[in-house]
Amino acid sequence: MKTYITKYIASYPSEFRKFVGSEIYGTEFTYGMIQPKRDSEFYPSRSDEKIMRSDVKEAVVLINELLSQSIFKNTERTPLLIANGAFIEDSNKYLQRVMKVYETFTDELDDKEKFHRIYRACPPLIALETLTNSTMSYVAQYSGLKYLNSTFGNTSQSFSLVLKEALNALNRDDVHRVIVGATNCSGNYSFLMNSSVVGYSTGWRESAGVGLLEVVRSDSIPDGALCEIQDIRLGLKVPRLTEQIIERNWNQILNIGDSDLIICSGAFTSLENEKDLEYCQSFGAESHSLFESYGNLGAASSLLGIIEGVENFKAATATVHVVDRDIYGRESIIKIKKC
Amino acid sequence: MLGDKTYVIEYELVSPIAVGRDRILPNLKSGFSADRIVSRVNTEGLPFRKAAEVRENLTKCLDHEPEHIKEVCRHDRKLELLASCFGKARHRLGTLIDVLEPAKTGVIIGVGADVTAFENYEEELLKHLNSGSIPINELFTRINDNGLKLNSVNNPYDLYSIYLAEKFKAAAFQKSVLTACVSSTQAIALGHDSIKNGEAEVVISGGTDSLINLLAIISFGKLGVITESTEEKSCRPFDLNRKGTLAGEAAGFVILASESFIKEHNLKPVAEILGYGNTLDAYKITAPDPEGISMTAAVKNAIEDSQISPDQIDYVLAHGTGTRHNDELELKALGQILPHGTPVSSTKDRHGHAIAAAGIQEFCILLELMRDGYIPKNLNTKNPCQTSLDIVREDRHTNINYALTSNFAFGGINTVLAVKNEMNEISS
Repeated sequence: MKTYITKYIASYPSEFRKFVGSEIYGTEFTYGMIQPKRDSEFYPSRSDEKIMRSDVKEAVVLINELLSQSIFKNTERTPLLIANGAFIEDSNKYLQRVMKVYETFTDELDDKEKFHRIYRACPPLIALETLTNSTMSYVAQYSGLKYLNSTFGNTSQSFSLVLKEALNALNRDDVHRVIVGATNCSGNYSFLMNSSVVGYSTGWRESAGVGLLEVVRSDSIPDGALCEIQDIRLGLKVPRLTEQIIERNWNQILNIGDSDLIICSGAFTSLENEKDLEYCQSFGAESHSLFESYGNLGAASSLLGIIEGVENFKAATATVHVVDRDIYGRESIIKIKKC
Repeated sequence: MLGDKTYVIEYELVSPIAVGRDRILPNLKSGFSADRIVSRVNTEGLPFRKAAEVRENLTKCLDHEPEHIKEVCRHDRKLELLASCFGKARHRLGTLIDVLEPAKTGVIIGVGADVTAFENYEEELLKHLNSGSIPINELFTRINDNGLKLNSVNNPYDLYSIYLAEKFKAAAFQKSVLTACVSSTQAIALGHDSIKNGEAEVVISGGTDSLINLLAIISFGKLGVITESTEEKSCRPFDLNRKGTLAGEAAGFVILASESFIKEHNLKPVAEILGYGNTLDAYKITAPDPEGISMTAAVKNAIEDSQISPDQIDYVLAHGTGTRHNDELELKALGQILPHGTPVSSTKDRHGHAIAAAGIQEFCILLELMRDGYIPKNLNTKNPCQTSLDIVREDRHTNINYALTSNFAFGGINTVLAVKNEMNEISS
């Protein structure tokens, strides 16, 4: 059985700002932010909006736009699989009130009073704000998708895992299409998490990004599929934590074979990106990355790479490889072919 | 092999009820409950002061680890619990690990939200607060700038699956499932799928989580799901007077293997994963669907996927959190599918709610119950809710051939596993 992508939708960062990471360590990063479509008829309600990250708000708008374009109307038996990056957009903002309380602490204050102040300052819905499945649950709430589901995270490899899971779900008799999504909120929390694993370099760039795909199996395919998903492969390297070796060189997935375009991701700096492109060009194909436009898109990298590939199909039988290496150096490759 | 059956061949648990699987049954049978005033965090002055903690010093379980992993474990409770769990099992797993083929072995771990234990870094936070810099950024950067490639705080969620993958040489995949209270239940379900689809012949599925830090306890308390510490018994699943759940922590894993793998290596299975149901409420993130439609569908799908009939189910180890909403809807969902009098109990009154590790904790407990033919009572249930099901109020000794274990998550995710006992002869 073959599988196809029939619809896609995405949002990209539109505003880029430089932020300080640590003054003491002299780190900074550029952060590309998404501006959710507040004027959309699908924009979430005010009560929900208060506890949603920007990428989640946008995912709610996008799922409804995507479903409204689809010929499939059954949401009850449509699986929903999501890849998610970090779950806190701005830890300073979200813990601001708690930090303010710490500012009031004096030596004379006893523990009871300290904890009481922290308790009062803690936002009431903090557990929901940091919920790791908030994208999936809100997308379901606003779209009616009710069936098989999971959220994987939170490195860039998670989208390849999600897409693989979607293909598995399509093997079931009762599943004809799957919605797969990827969201990356980026921000200071993500920067702090990633930069201390990979090692900070100047020129660090990370961005938010959101995308959704409708994936359909061959016996359900309507006219006008965009591309066939021909292959998804994961590298077989296991990061060696006990020896503290986190090797991020491209070296696992060889034999890309014939390709018209390779779209790569994984870099956090321009220098890294240049090396990535150089590696991909060694396969004799045109190579491209979204880094120069947006920086590292984390969990959304490969999904947005697929969309970039679809939009850049040239020949009638164009083949695109979307390759990624995550912060632990784990490689993944997705091969799509124009229909 | 496509269509292969999925068997459980090994399991291990570190939980408030048992540091090591061999302690599960003795502690259940003695009526032990870990419901106490929290010892690791000073909660003086808070309305929520009780939790179920792993109180045992885990240092010994980490003997096998290099110093830098031990250092990360001192900051990261989730890694400490998971590494200790592996430490408990590693001697008996040696032979098995030797025969695993890396390209055919995968890991799927359910992980809970990252909540930093700021109470451990108060002095440093105060220092940064007065320096005019951004305190959290400075704190995280400093703690993680320790010459290690591993973060000590603010770890990527994949750290935990990668940790186990290295131990088991599992190169096929390392997946991190992030679906709150059903994370590790889904990890088992997805492991079953991976074997059925031929993606792997062995999958290590599990989870790790801890709610025992100041912000986590406060945040769940403010959400209205944790019982205030004025109550003598924090967690009373299926009781009319239930007031909420008990915060917990745990880590555990099961080793799932294909039929062909166990035949090839002449292994004796513990249980078979028959199937699962996995649905979304698509209702509200803040509350479950009051009709319980998707919850019921998850129970129904688990049974249908398993190709068994509802009357074959001997026991349900329920999610049973002790919260108003969950228990009422769970009984409703189970009651709509299962026959009158099906025995149901929850063990959260003893070990608390381990959120992302709840599923694996209860799955390991279920395996022990199946092995022994023992159904534990709901420890704190005095006035049971109205239901057609049998809310177990006295311990029982009876064969459990087929069982369900259910978990339901914030955001409306419902995952139910169906399991068949492979340790005893199936009795009629």
